[in-house]
Amino acid sequence: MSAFAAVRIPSPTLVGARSAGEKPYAPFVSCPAAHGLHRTHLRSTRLGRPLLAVSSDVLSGQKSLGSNSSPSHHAVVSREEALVLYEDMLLGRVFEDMCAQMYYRGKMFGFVHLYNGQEAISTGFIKLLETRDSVVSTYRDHVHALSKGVPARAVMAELFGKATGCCRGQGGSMHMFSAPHNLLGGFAFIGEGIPVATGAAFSSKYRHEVLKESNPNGLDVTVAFFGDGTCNNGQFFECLNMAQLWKLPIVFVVENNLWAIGMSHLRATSDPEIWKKGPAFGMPGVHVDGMDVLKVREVAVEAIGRARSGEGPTLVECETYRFRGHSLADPDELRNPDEKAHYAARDPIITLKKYILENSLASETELKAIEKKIDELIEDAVEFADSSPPPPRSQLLENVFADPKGFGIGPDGKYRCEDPKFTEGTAQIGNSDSLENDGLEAVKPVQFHSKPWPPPLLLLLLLLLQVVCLLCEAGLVDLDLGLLFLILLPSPDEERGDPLRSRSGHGVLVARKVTEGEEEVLRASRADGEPGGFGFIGGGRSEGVRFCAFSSSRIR
Amino acid sequence: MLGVARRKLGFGLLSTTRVLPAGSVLPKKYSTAAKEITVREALNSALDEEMSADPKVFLMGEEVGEYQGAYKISKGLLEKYGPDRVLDTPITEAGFTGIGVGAAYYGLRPVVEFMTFNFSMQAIDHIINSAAKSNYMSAGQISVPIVFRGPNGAAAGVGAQHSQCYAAWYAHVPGLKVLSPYSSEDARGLLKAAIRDPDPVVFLENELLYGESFPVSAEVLDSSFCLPIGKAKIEREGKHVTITAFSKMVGYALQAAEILSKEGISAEVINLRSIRPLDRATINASVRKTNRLVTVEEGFPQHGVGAEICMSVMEESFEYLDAPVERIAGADVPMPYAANLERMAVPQVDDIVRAAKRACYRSVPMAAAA
Repeated sequence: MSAFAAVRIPSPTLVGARSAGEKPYAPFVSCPAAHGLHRTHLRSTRLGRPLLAVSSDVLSGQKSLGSNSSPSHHAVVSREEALVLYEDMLLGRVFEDMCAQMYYRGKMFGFVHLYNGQEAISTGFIKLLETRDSVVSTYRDHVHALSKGVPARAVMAELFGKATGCCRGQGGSMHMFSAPHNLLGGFAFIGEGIPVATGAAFSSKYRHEVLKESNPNGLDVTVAFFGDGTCNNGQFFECLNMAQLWKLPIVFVVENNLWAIGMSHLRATSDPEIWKKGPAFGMPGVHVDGMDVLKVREVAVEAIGRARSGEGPTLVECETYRFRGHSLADPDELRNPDEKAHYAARDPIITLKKYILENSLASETELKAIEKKIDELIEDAVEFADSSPPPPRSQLLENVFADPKGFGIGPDGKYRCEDPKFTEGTAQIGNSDSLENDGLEAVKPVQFHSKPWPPPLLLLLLLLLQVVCLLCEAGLVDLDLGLLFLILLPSPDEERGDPLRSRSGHGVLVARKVTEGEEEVLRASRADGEPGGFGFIGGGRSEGVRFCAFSSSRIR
Repeated sequence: MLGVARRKLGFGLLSTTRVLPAGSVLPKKYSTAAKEITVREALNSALDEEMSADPKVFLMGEEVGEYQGAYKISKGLLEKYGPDRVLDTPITEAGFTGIGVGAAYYGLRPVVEFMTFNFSMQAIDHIINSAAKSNYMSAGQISVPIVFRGPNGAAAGVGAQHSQCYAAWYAHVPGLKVLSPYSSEDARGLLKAAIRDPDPVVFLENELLYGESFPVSAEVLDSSFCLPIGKAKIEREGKHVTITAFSKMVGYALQAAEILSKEGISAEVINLRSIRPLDRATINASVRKTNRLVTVEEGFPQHGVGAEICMSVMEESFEYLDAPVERIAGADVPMPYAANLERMAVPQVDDIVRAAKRACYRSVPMAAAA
């Protein structure tokens, strides 16, 4: 770190990035450390030579595909394109500012990561994609969602946690998914989206090669957005390797805003030039000024074109800056105010506006009209989100599985458990009615066939016996009776064929004299231990048979 | 009748042999089976059939292609389907699992093989955060029809880092389905069900079972054979005690049941097959019949599958229990290497027999046999 020397920073307009050719690369980075002095660094000075934007041999001799760039100017855009870009960036900016307001008013909660300052990257790349192309992002995904076409209302409602959100309130700020727009998230873990994006690109190639689905315009492209901190993560390198190995149609876009929460990129990375990591894996690495949407767009045209034509991945590092903290909970104390001021002066929206006005692509009033339109759109989105209902309580348990019954979907596309020939395995206990439910619902008590109470005839007999015993007790009837009654009640699994079970469904009454030995034992099992009298000893279940034992004794 | 009375009252005064219902000892399904196949062949044939039925199914993992599979499960598949559908990956679990998940987001049906499930820990972020939770986070927009499969649990003498059982880990997570087959029939039916399922499925095989043969009926060998996810199988019916097990422990439990039957204890052995969703209905119905429960698993005891089964039975069928639930699990230590220590760290048949006897209030010798 002490090897850095102070260097004069070139003016911003010269710090443009090109897909080919030399240019100085000078991020304004102040060392947040030891001496409290503001130092400016030119990374190339540390390396001893000026930086090349692209050093990969792969791209150096190549004709650019579909790019209309000229060596020293920005790409020329038409009026319509410029207005689309302006509107999209403005939408992102106003939306994020509104998010901050809503958060501090308590309408939004949890983790909210705002994209202010980085709009050029989102707009520059995503506005070149078709609906069939997919975008994978990180937790800083609101603007990626908006650029990809998810309505502002849906995103705002999702942030408010309402049922009308794009994920019905179940995802939140960090998990924006939209299947119709091919927005695959929204991942909270950094680096998690990169393999998923690589997989999406893999599926695009697979569908083309194996399933033979083809589109005349080329393969579906996946664009993965992630930050500088992610580029030190193992999954990033694993995917660079596999994407190039299998020539997948993907563009890896690094939004290098120089800070990972409070960790400066320079403090965390041994070689801070991320674009160089592409050629190490055999793919082109490009560095571009991420504060200038036209430059980003130019590089994007080429990278997306390469992917679409099947030439494989590209790594694009966009130098950019986030004007706000890492999240709305971040006090943002570690960043130097001069650095922030420097990048604020390079605000992509202001830059584009200036460009539009200078090149007479539109008038001031037209731009103002766009601004007004966006303001109204965002206001409407907030109102919509505010007035939307929260998710109903029943939504809590929904969507855990695509197949809620848990038995899978059969080859005919219907739930397997609805198939009449469905094998239930051999888990047949009791009657099969009790098992008609799937195992996922709350388990209802298994229904047994047997009647818990003896049938009326048996009750009558019991009553009779009780009367007899009472009479014995009272001494009115002198019967030398020790009666052991065993009442066998039918067990639930009558069908088992055990000869001891009653098949008829009625009880069997057994009455006979109790021997002395048994009397001892029976007495011992009674709670009070008192012999004599009529008493209910016990009942229970053994081997599926219910029984009650009564004893009465006047054994003499 | 007296004998009946005595036995019914549970005093154990007589030990008359009972009339056994016909066919209760023998497993029901194997009556006229002629063919026997190994679990390896069962898995291979299931993969083969599913890949040929649906071109969106593809297999990826380390050594699945040219090496014919680290345990030869994917033998012959590379020749048949080509390198586009049977992918040898670099040693990058996190990377290729994430790639599988991303492909599944788009409707392809990847089968991701982990050489053992111990290596899945390098990819567990993708299994849980990208795969299991996605359908919920996206409110049903994005489902992930992926299968993660591979050997799980202890093999022989492979040491602590290659022997852990992950059933409890994955079964803890909502959004995943966790299956664990025992026999060839289970392996075939459950793998086919898993591949056809639209949700992420963790398929826990067992390396020591790969080479074991089991008889299968013609129905099992049919290419549309499928077993339901979430249903257990009663491998052996009994009356006195229920033993639940999965994977290799089912074999041990069946052996234990044989030994117990000679001592007059008729054990009902349940092969769980599906750890999540757990077939609570079957387990509870069985416990309501037998009133005693022994759970057997190979993994560590704390927060294991047996703990969940015990709780489920306590919640649903407390008044039916005649004895405390006995739990047999692996020793609460990382797996040792020495052969005798390893034998002690994994449940053996004797342990199951002793536990069943304890549950039936028979006296048992105090010390474990070495």
